[in-house]
Amino acid sequence: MTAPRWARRLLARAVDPSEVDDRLGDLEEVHRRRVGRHGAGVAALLTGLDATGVAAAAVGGRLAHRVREARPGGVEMRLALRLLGRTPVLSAAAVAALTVGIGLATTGFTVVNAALHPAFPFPAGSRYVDVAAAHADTRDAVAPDADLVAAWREEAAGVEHLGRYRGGAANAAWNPGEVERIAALEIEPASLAALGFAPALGRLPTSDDARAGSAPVVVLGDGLWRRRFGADPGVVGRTVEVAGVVRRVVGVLGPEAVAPAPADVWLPLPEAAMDGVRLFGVLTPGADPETVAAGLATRARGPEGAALRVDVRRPGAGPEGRAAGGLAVALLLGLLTVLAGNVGSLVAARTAARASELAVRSALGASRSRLVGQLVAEVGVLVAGATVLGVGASRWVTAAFVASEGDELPIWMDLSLDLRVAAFVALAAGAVTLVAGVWPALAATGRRGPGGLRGGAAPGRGHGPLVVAQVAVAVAVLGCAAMVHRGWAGGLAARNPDVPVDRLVVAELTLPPDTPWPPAALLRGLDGAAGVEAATLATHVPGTDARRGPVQLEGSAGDGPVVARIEVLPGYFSAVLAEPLAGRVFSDDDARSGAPPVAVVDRAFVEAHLGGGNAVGRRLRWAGSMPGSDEPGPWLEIVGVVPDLGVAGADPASTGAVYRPLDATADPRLIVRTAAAPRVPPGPAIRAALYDVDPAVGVQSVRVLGDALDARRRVYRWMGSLATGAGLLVLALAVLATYALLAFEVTRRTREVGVRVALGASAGAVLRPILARTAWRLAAGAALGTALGALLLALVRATLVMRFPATGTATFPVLAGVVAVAGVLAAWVPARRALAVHPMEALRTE
Amino acid sequence: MGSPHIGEFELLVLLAALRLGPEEAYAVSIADDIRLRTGRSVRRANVYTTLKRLEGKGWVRTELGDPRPERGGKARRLVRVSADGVAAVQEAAEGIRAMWHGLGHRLGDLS
Repeated sequence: MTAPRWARRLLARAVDPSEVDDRLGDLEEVHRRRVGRHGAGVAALLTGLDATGVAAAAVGGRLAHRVREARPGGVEMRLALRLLGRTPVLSAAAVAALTVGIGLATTGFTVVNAALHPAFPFPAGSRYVDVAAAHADTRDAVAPDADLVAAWREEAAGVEHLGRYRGGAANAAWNPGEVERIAALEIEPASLAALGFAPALGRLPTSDDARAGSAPVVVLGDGLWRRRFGADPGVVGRTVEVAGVVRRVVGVLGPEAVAPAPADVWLPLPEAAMDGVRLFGVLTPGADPETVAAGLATRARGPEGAALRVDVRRPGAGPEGRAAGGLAVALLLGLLTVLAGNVGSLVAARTAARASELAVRSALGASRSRLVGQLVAEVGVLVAGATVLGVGASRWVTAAFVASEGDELPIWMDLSLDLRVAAFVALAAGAVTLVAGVWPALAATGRRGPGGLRGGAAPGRGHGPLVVAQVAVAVAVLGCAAMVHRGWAGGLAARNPDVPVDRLVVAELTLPPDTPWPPAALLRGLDGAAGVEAATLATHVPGTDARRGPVQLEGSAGDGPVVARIEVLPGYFSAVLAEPLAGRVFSDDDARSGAPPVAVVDRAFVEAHLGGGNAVGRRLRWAGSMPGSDEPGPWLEIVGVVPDLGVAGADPASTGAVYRPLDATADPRLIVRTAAAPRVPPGPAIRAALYDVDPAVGVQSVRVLGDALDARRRVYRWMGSLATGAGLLVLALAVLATYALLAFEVTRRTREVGVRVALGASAGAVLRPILARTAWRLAAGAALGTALGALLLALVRATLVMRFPATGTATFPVLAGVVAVAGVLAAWVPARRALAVHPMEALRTE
Repeated sequence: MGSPHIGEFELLVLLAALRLGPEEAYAVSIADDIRLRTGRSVRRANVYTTLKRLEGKGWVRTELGDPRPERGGKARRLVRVSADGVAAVQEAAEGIRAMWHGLGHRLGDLS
């Protein structure tokens, strides 16, 4: 007949003890009434619900009361702020460390978030997918011809639109002598409307425009229209020459037209087009890409009836990208945790030094939760400050990156601060507060209560391993960072090619498939160009990393040394003003087909692999890695030796370079020597000169070699500084934490020191055990750090492929010494202070 | 500072407590009374919360009565409305009356 037991228990637990009795009485009374009215079963259910409601209201009321009590601006906050002022160095160090951690984690998450959640800035953007077909067995790509697309369009479920397009670059000849390489996109006219793009001016292309024999038309992209035509509304009806064809401008698209790819000009895709054509789709709302892909695969067959494997993918990172992004964020969170743990140990040391204060407050009636709240609020203030600074720095870095490199980012990558990033920051800040604040607070106010009045020793335990770990991590990380920095600096210094870098202009070249070989006629187009002294082609330009591979020297067994392998036109060495040191360079005869195979090597090769002896007349060959064959290549006779041109790269396994005449299959770079150092890269002039010879030749990324090398050096220097900066931060934290922990330990033993001095012990005898223990810990940390550093360095060497200075191994002992001195000082200063205290005072301290 | 604001449910609880009298007013009977007269469902948890608030404002006092067998031997927490509580109810009634004035032809008389 009584109310269910669980309901009574729930109520008894939830409500205030002073009210339990009458509440239980009420429950009992109501329950009996219910039994009379509904029967026992229903009554039990209703009373259970009733008790749950009353219990929830009681708990909710208490929580609300607590929140009102602990409002910001309350006594906890005021105490926290006052304490920060009292320990400014510690607070600043903690904020700095957490700022770096939170800033890095936020930046990493912002990038990963943008990569995983692509946002195309147009209405159908969220339903845009890339579609690709391949043979189910061989995985070879299948060209999406008109038949296949037609079959899919008829039957495909879940697809609103399937479109064909072809993206690429094209030459636009604005005026005689002014040629620009622009992004051109050929697309089926119906697709533009299907994507929801409306013309800002004029009209979109129609299917009639795509028919063979129709008058060529072009639609301008928003960017080009503004950049080139000053947003002139009268541009429609004018003609422009794109890809060697004069076309009439029929319209201008708005800035939202960025899919399948952003483009300067949009051209109607010819109906019969096949080469390089790709597919995209717009899914129906709610359609799932994988289901759509499976449906498409069953609805059509590839050439010769082969089964198809269809890939339907939203833009953004693929599975590998997701994994890499997740790993990067996990690593950054790991770093943040380490930093938070460091700050936590600083806070623990500071809290332990306040044992008396906590004990007094506890004795005066402060509950444990109140003390923990106070300690967590102190760390919360630090974390809040670090979060504001870290997120601010992250936004600043991101904005700077977008401003300088935004053009390189995929158009769907949106690096703004969205809800997901905000939630991540909030969670990270919460987790940091937990690690750095809650743990030390719980430890300091443990179940046995603050031990300050009893002279409790609990907080000091476990600090030995902490000191050892701190020192080890600091030595390892900073040592590695310094080595990496020096490795890069050394690698760059060794790569200053002895060529006139300020007068060499380099560019990437796209040659049409029908270019006659060797393309001497093409380069002759540059002969008349103003200021051009010489022009040549090579697979790699001086001062940059070349492709590497093993070569075999005649008379030596097995795979030979790994060297840089470069192919050049015969005039290359004279064009870059590199005179042969021995023998000769290539002649035009060497480049003819059927000519005896020859090679030119650089001085580093001769010194490393031929003992500095005579190289001319010796023979070598590519060791078993000719494209498409496992057989070694033909023997090449070395006909000359040239100076080092800095192409061997920083790979420690690679020494020297071997040059061969340029092959038609190679993807060459253009190198032009000018009479004087150009102030701006002469891209338009070079393009115009080559355009006259062949309008289809593409010239991209025109730069002065000196500028290009400087930019690379800046990147390396910046990365080196970043690594060293991170290492220094860890070291500073480690020294500070060591100091805080040791100082705390020594202070805790003031009483012992005082007693021993009073009993006649000498200063040395008292200090020796403290310093000895410190020294042991530092030594252990340094040894562990050196071992850890060597391990890390091996890892860095394997992943970054770099040379390190031979003297660099001295870095670790030097660092260990620095940390040791800082550690001994950290123990010495408080120990001396303890010795200076009068014995009576020492006895009164606790 | 003026007297604390009175909420509608607070007013109902005070009126029920006044009607039941100090010997019979407790959470269960107050909830029953409101339910009976207004016809709306009343959760006892809300009555507890409201009584606590009223106690905080000094409008009611509570004390334990005698143990009773139908309550499993537990006592009732009896509610007595204080003089301030009565004044608060009167003030609320005055307010309503003043606002009602002149609306009798549309709303009917407030008796």
